[in-house]
Amino acid sequence: MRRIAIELDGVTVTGVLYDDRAPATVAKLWERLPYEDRVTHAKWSGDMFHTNTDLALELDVSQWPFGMENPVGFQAPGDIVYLPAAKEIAIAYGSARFAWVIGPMMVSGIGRIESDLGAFAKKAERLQWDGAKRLVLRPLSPA
Amino acid sequence: MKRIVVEFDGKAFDAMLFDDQAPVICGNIWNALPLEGPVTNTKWSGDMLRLWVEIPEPVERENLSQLQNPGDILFLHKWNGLRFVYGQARMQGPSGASPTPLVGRMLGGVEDLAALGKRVEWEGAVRLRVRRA
Repeated sequence: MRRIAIELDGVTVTGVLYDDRAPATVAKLWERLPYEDRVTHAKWSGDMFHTNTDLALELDVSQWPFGMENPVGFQAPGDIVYLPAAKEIAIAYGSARFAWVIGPMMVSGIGRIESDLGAFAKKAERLQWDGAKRLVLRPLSPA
Repeated sequence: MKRIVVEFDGKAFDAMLFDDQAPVICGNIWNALPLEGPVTNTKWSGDMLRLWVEIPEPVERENLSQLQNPGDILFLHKWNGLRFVYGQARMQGPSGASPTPLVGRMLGGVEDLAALGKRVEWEGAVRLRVRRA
């Protein structure tokens, strides 16, 4: 699996992208790396934050059930997900389930953080108190 | 019903407490006024601000609301503080919706409250004060 570095407000962790379960989505995201945006804390999804600038990956979502690759309904701490309809990436750092005003939503599971979440989760939790911060995704391994 | 004033960003907005429908909780809130603290957005409940203050918590769970509307003011047992609804919102947590005492309502300023919610999301917590009218 392809490996990435995820930097949130100066704290960096490493993660993997699911080439096997979401190959098309991961390949399109890989082309966009390094990717940088300002992220804000979720208001419906618990311990999760999300990007805010449209990240259109130009996927033919009509080919997949639920309109996405590897649809998942639950997230564990460290899970990285992508919602094609909203063109956003979200990352869970604690107790979380991707939701919006209508309730929980399926999202595309595209990867997970593999290193220690401790300091990263503390930074993520501060988003609720400190507002938007810089997130950078960088490629670590060759495609 | 008792009148209160909600202040933020140098502005003041009238609101009322539903002391007829939630007399014990509203009595505790009234006796605790003035209350001032930081507000953040909630994590699970949508367009809703949480005022981080401590109010003596009664056993009674009065005037429980299942759905909330912009302008509603809520008290949440166990988590304490006050909640201010400014848009699409429903009090909930990881296990789903949570019936919550409706203790008051803003009589104006909901658009300003919504602007505050957006600003808090991007710039971080700000101070909010509630006092007797």
